[in-house]
Order: sequence, then structure tokens, then C-alpha cells
Amino acid sequence: MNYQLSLHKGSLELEQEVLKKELCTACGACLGLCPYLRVRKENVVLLEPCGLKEGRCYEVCPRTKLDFSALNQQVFGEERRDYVLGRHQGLYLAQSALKEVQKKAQYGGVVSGLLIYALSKKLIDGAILVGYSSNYQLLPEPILARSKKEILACAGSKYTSAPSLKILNQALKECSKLAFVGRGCQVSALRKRIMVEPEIGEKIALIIGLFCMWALDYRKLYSHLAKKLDLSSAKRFDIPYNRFLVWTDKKRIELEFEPIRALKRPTCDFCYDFTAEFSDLSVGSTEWKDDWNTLIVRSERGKKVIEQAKKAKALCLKPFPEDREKLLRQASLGKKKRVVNGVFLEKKANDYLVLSKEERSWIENQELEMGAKK
Amino acid sequence: MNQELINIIICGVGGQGNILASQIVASAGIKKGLKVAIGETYGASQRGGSVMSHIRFAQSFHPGPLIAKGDADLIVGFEPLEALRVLLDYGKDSTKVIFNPRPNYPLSVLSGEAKYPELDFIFSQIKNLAEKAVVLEATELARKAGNYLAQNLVMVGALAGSGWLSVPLECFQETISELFEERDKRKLNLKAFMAGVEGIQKALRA
Amino acid sequence: MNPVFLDKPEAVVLMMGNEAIARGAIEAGVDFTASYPGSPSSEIQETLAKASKIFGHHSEWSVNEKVAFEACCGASFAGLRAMTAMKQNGINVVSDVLNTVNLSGTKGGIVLLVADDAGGYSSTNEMDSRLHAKLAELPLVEPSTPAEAKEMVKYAFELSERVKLPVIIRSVTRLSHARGDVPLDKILPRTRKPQMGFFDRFVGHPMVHPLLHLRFNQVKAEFEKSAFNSYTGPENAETVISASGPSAVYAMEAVHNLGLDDQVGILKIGTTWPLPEQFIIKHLSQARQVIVFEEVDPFLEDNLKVVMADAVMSGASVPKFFGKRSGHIKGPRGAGIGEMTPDIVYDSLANILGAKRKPRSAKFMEAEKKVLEWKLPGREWAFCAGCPHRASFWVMKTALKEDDREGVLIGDIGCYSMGVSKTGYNLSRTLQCMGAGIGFANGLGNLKDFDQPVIAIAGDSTFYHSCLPGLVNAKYNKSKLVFIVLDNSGTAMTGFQPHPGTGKNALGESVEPISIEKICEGIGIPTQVVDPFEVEKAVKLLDDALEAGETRVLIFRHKCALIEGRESKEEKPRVYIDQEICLGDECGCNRFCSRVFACPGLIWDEKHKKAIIDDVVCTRCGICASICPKGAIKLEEKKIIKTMKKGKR
Repeated sequence: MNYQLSLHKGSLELEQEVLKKELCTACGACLGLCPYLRVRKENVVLLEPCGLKEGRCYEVCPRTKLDFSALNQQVFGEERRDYVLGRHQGLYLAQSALKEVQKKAQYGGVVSGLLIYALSKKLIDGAILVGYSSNYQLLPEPILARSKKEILACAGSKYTSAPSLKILNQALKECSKLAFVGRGCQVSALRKRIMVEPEIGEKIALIIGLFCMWALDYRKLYSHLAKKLDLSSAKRFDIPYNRFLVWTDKKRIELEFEPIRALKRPTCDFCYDFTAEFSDLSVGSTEWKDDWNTLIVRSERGKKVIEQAKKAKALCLKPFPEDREKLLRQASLGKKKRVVNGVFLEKKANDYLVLSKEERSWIENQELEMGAKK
Repeated sequence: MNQELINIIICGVGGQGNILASQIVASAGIKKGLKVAIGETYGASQRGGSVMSHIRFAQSFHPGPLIAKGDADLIVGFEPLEALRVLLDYGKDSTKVIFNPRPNYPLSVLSGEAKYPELDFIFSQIKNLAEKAVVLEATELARKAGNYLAQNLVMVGALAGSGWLSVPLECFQETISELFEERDKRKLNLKAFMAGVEGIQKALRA
Repeated sequence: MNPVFLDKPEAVVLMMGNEAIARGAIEAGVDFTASYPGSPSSEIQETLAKASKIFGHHSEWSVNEKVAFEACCGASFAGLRAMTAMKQNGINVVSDVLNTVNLSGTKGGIVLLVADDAGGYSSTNEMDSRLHAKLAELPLVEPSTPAEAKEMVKYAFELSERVKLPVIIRSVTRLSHARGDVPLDKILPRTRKPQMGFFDRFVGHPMVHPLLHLRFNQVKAEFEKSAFNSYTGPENAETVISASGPSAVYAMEAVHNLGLDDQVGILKIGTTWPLPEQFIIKHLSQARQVIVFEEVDPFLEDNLKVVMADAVMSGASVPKFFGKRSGHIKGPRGAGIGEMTPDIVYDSLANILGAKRKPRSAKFMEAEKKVLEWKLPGREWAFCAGCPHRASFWVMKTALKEDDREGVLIGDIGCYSMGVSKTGYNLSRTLQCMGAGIGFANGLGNLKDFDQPVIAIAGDSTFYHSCLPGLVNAKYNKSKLVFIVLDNSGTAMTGFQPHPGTGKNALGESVEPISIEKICEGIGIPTQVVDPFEVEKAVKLLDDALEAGETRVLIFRHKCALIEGRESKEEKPRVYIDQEICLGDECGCNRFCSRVFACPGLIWDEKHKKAIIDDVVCTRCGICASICPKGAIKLEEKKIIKTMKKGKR
């Protein structure tokens, strides 16, 4: 197969440089390409080196080389300008107008609502989402949703990594207008994959990115929770702001939040992309109004879908308050500074991140406001 | 050929039926009144390993079960690489070889670590070292006779029909009939045996 | 009728050494036989099992060699003739009771046949069982040919009854698995009636040790006159070859072929322990040099030296001894390693006496030099096509990788022993004696600060043989391990003998199978059964079990391909590779099917650079069909042939 590979490294290097260094984000991009890479409970392993010198697995991984300027060119056809929130044409408060969605929604229900709308208008014919596993308690599972019911079943944030890109190949066999919803690392990996195999890009109709500060390691989370409660009855959990809530059959339990920090995947400390800067649309919570989402509109096709949905009254939009935007930027900048200033230099993990000189020095020198998260 | 003693080696890969073949050859020899011994490798080596049966026919004394290096008069190879290996160790100038050219690939070849030698190379080395070398498509002949699994009987037939052993065909056929009591099995094996006899006689005439 | 069982004295039959041994027991009117399979001894009990329908003796496959031998002792205590056969590892298992029953003595003739796998063709060790005879102070005889083996068995029963001790017969691969002419003799009728009289007591106690010495000396005296020892060649030869077992036959042939019949004497020893001292002194005291040929250790060699050294007391002189100790007699890997062959005999005689064979012709000598360049690939053992162990090892390899804690796999004895090599993906870290796997795992599973999860494996036959104590211990002492029983419904490596789980006994009769899972559950260990051919399911179950961090049992159950294959290959759908879908080297999977999974039925077609199925080798198990990432490996759909019934319309 003649793939357009530029990094010229393969599975062995992927294992050495990413998997064994705890840098893997479990995005799932390397899974489903070949039989040598497997995942169990969000831990990606290489069965054995395939023996080939180079391959797509290394090429598409978001932790091998992420060149923000190049990606910006590829996706938006222009240079990087907004270093904090990424390229965008609009910033809104948004909310799904569909009643069923509002009932199931965690916050504004924007992702579910938008997908349901797009599906009904045949703008998409399937969406890669994340539901819950029927085998393991609280383990997210990638789902190819092809109906309203299936989309609703996947509503709600997941807090562990969910390698949903692992079903991409299978989804591409069944769909020709695919939507993908995922974290920033996953969106970047998907864009890298499209660079390697441009024909795939033609079958992907919409990429929705989710705001993500960190993901928890499923196995660590599980053993932590198992000590606190009988997990066989746990239905779901939620981490709104700085609280940790678990719902069982009978009740809602609140657990201490601080210990949760230790359950983070170490790789999240090296992430530069809180708002999924290469998506068509990015969606997150507002950390302010529980029934609204923050919506960032980035690309032309993202904009088109939003306008259509608004016109059809499937989606409500309100302007995003300036003071809230400031806070949002602080949050994103804080994360970027931590990475760029090399607080975690001893792990030398920020080698993967390629920023232009301008961007890097701007981030380094920009002051964080007092009170902002360091 | 030393008429007092004839040393025959049947070789191949585990699972090709060379133990049954050597039993038939030896029993046929006993019917002719010869004193016979067989030495064999059994057990784990049967799991895909190289196997050999040493068969010794003597007129007047009881031979031991093993043939010394460089002492084989006849070599019957169920597999070409094994035929070459055995010829290298046990052959002498007067050794005659009959072999089935169908290769059986060892694990190391399947995994890409080793290369199976070119068949032409194997054939030419065998022809170089042996006094006479005959290729016999035993698997094909067995398939035509009814079941490729009877390839070992085809090779026994080839040995019997070569004229290099002074044991008449009837001794072989009687042995085969006694060994297979079930009618269909007996028929098939006798047919495979005769296919080998005819096969080698055709090859020797050519 | 199997010619081995013919009641035709004077007939001559071609027999395997093991068949001759079984025949010897039959001719001696054996009453009770019990063994555990082990190469090269398995055919003895197999033959006795087939014979029991005709001759009426008891024949069983016991769960292990100790029980087998003890059962035979039981029969002997009741006055019956009993025999057990085992490989060298078996006599190690038996050694505990061998060293008490020598003191208690026995009643009915009891013979212990041990067949040493010299060279270790199918063993995890190479050792010389004759030392057990020395240790237990029991008589031991070594046959040189199948015909002699038969005679020795009969003699052994008589001797055993005379001296009231078990008699050990030591065979080797080149005897047990060699075939030769054996003249038949008359078959003694079985007329003994079992009974334990009031005074029939068999108590092992150190107090009785002097009685053992008494009996032993009785044997010594008898062996002096035994026809199993012989001297051929010139009187007062300067060079004498002494040999036991098949080595004696090699030596005789070599001496003859080298034209040394008039110069070299041959002292053949059949009663190897205790040695016939006077007989030996008579023939060795005039010799200047003695050359000793035997299988495995220099047992005969060392003991001959003791005899001659003792004889100095009465004026004899000690000759030079050439053998394994002196380093003159050695195989390609060293002295005392590997089996004895005619080639080693020739090389030694050339070395010691200067008597050389005619050299090979130039073209062979040249080929010998060139052969290394040719790089002829060796043949490693591999799991047969369709073997459930391949699936099991694939499952274990995948699960251990997914578990990602550098888990270790502890192996055991059976076809799955090959887990130490490439065919088992080099997974097994240890391989020793039966039942040692779960034993070692017990230790590893109880180490504080050892974070690597432990899997111990054993086959179904091994399970009954010696895993039960280890399993109970694991539960009792809370060892964290996952014990996987690879249940392929038979003792496969040694030839598909039945065992307690198969539902059949040695005679082919149906018996109630003893369930492995019920035993494990009875011990109180969570147990699950899965078919290893259902790869993803099995991987998941194993990963879950590893995560549980306690003693767990998984049973990977699927019939051995060779047993299944015998039953019905043609009825299964043919496996083939769709050459349109297979992308060959273009696939990017780097030959995942043939190179990584590595089933001998799935080969790489070098000409077309694609994978194909070798129909002759493939057993149609279908498991490869689930591995190909492109789905190129398929099962052929069966065409349904409709038949029209004739009749009224």
C-alpha cells in the first residue's frame, strides 16, 4: 500500500516512544489498522513488533509529531493566529431545542441534538460516539450510531479515554458521510490519518471536538472506586467542575475530588489542545450555566451545519459573554503554558509538540491573570 | 550391493507414515526368510521433526537396529530436503535414492527466518551424490489411487518395484493384505502400492 | 490376530522391543499390569491392554507411575505376577516406594521395566536409571535385543519370586523402539489365586536392612552363572570390549566389520547389577585394556573398575579402562551425552586401537564440508495443523500482552511443552518434570512485591498425574496464580492413551469420566471452561482471571487435532485463501498469518508472494480464518445436494 508517510517509523518505535512511556492517550487511531495493536480497558499494547520499518500507526499517533502550524494549514488553509482558542469564526452559548435531548442531556445537549438533526437531514449517515460497555462496569465503548435512539444512548460525558477511533475503519465501510465526536487528541489523530489517506477525508462529513482538560485512567479509576463502593451497582458517574459524583441503582454518592487527580492519565499533562482546535465544531460545558454548552464554530462546513440547525429551530444560540470568554482563554492558556514552559521537562514528552517560533514564544511570554489556574 | 546385508533408510517428516512403511518393508523381508531389524525415531520428533527408519536385511546373522554413517544402500525419501540430509550422512557411492519431490516447510521457513533451498538445487545434489536417483510423485499418485494419505504405500511400492531389493512383490502384497483387515482400506493401499511399482518401473525405463 | 499374541511356539515374528517385552510378560503368565505412558515405554502397556482380552490379565493406565508400581506391589503382595513399564522419569517418581519395598520384600514376581530415552528424543532430561538399582540395592538386567528382552522378562519373574524382591529391567530407545525377529515360546497358563495369608506382611523398616543384603547376595551368586553374560573372542585377549544393552550388538558388528575378531574379546554383560564379579575377573584380569560401551552414564564402566580394584586383593592386576570417564568414548556433544551409535563405536575403536573404517569417497567428503554453506533449514517441532494448543498459546500470548504487567507462563509436560519454543510463541518460562509447573507457580504466586502475574499450564493427563497437590496447596496457601488446564481429551504426546477424564479405560471400555472442573470446584477454586478456538472470548476470560489476583482455574477445552482428524476431516469445510483479497506482501500485515501465527498448514507461496493453504497438511480447524485482518482466509460453503425420491407423484 502506498501511504503518504513522512515520519518513517513503525510499531516498534510507537511502542518505545509512546506506549511504554505512558504517553498514549488511548485515542484509538492506531487500533483497527492491523492485528498487532490491541486495547484492553483503555490500555493499548503491541502484541509484537510487526517487523515493518514504517507504518500508519506511528504516523497518525497524536503523540509522535503534532505540528500545529501544518495542521492548521491542512484543515483551515491558513496560518495560526489565535494561539489560545485556535482558529474559529464564532463563539456561542448553545443548547439543543429538542425535548428528548434536553431530558437526557448532561448540559446543553448540543452534540446529541446536532447529530440527531444532521442525521435526520441526511447530512451524515452515522456517527462514531461513545457508549458504555456491557461487559465491564463504567468502561466506555465506541459505538457507530446510526439512529436517533443510538445517538441518545451515548449522551453524556465520559471521563476515561475511550479509544473510539478504533472503529473508524469499520465505520468507513458502512458509512459515506461519517461524523466523529472526540477529544482534541483524537481530532488531531483523525486529521493526521486524513493526511495519510486523503480519500478517507471525503467520507468524513463532520468532526466535533470536545473540551478536555484530562482523562482518567480506567484501570486506576476502577480500583479506586472499588474500594469505596460496590461497583456492580454503579450506573454512571459525573465530574461537574470539581466534584465527583457516582449514581448507583439506589442513590447518588459524592466522593472526594482531590484523589481523582492521581487517577489522571499522565499523558494529559502534555496536552496542548484543551478545545480541540482542529475540529469543525468544538463543544464543552460552560462551568456556569448547567443547561447550556460552550460552542466554538471553526470551519465553513461547521458553520453551515450550525446555521441550518438554528434555522430549523433544532438549536438555540446566544452570544458568548466576554467575561466568560476571558475565563475560557485563561483556562486554555494555563494548560498551554504548563506544557511549553516545560514544568514536566524531566519526562521530555513535549518533543512531540511542534509549534512555530512565534507561537511558542508568545505562549511562553504571555502573562496569566491573577487567580487563573496555574 | 552386498548380498549378505542390505541397509535401507526411509526418511521424511513426522506424520508422513514412514513407520508403517518401514514395518511393511521389514515384514516383507521376513516373509522371504531374511533376518530383519528396524531402528526408528518415535515420540516428540513426530511433531513436525525429521524422522528416519533404518531397516536392515541380513542373510545369516541378526543385525543391530542402526546403520552406521556412510553405510546406506537404499534411501527412500518422503520429502526432498530429508532425502538430501540422509544421503549426505548415510550415503556412499553405490547408494540409490527414490524420493517424493513435494516439500514440507519447517516452521523456520514459514516464519521467514530460513529459506527452503531451491528444489533444483536439492535435486542436483541428490543426483550428484547418489549412484542413481529417481523422483516419484508419490502424493499425486496416492491422490489418484484414492487418498493422498497413502503416499507412504506408493513409496513402498516404488522400493519393491525397483528391483534393487531381492524381495518379490508378493511378499509385500501379502503383508499389506494382512495389515489392513478392512476391505476398503486394503484395496486402497494395494492400489497405492501398485501405483508405486508401476511408477518406478516407468521412471527407470525412461 | 496380532502375531505378537499367537500361541505358536517356534514361530518367528518381527516385533518391536516393547512388544517383545509385553510378549515376555504374557509368556510368563503375568496377572496384573499397570503403567503410565512415557516414551519409549508406552507400547508395552498398549500391547498388554490389547492382549488382556485374550489372556485375561488386568491391564490399566494408572494416573502416574508411583500408583502404577504400587498397584503392582499390591498384586504381588497377594501372590500374583505383576509388571509395570515406565520411562526414566517414571522411576524417579517411583523411587520413594522402591526404597521401602526393597526392605519389605514382595511375594508374587514383580518386574519394573524402565526404558531410558537416551539422547532425550522426547524427554526433558537425560539420565541413567540403572543408578536406582544401586540406590535401592535391587537386581537389574539389561537386554541387548528384542528377543533377549523377552527372555529376560520371564527370567525376571522367576528371580523376583526366588529372592522376594522387585527386579528391574532396563531398556533404551534403541531396544524398545527397534524391531527384530523374536521367536515365540509357550505361554504359561495363569493359575495363581490371589491371597494374603496371615503372615503375608510387607513392612518397610530399617531393621530389615540386613535381610535385603542377604537377598542381594543371593542374586549376586545367581548372576555369576547367568547365560545373559557371555564372552566371545580369543582367550586372554589383550583388548577386551565390555558392553551392555544394544551397544553390545554395535560392538560385535563393528569388531567383525573391522576384521578384529581374532584380536579383540567381547564381554557382553546382561546382569548389570549386581555384576557377576568372578566371571568378570576371569575375563578381564589378563587384559591390558578394556573398552566399555553402554547407554548414557558410565555405570558399567565405573562398576567394572570397582570389581577389578577389589580383585587386586587377590592378586589380579587392573587393566586400562577406556570409556566415557577417560573421554575416549564420546558422541558429538561429549562423553555420556546422547545415545550410543555404531558411529561412536567405530570412532572410538579408530581412536583407541587405530582400527579405521574405509573413508568415504571424495564427493561425500566435499559435500560434508560444503553443507554448512547450504544452510539447510532444520526442523523444529511444531504443533500439528489444527492443534488446540496453538490456539491456546495464541490466547495466552495475547492476554498476557493485554494485561501488560510482564506476566509469566510456567509450563509442564505434554505436547504443550513446546510452548518453550517458537511454535508456542516462546511463552513458557519453565519446563521440567510432571506437575512441576503448578509447583513452581505456587512459589511465584506467593512472593510479596512480585507484580508479574503468574499463569501455570498443564494438560489433562498431567492434571491427574501430579497437579492435584499443587492445586490444593495454591488454594490453601493463597497463591495468586491462574492455572490453565489444556484439555485436549487424551494423553496426546505419547500416543493418545486414555486417562480418567476421557471416559475410556485401557481396554477401550466406557467408564464414568472424572471431571476436572468438578475437582477444581470441589477444592473451592473459581473455575471456568472455554474453547480456545473462541479466541476473543478466551482472551477476555483470561485477562479477567489475571486481574482477579487470586487462585483461579481456566479449562481450555478442545479435542486434539489428530484425534479429531481421524474422525472426520472430509466433512469439514475446506479452508482456502481468497487470492483476490489476500494482498500478500502489499497487505502491510507482514505475513501475520504464516509468519506470526505459524500453522504448518498455512504457507507462503513464494512464487505468487501470497499466502495459501497446504491442503495435505491442513486439518480444516478454521481458526486461521479469524486472524486475517483483510478477511482473506475463508471456509468453503458446502453445496447441498438434493436427492429426488422416486415414487408416486
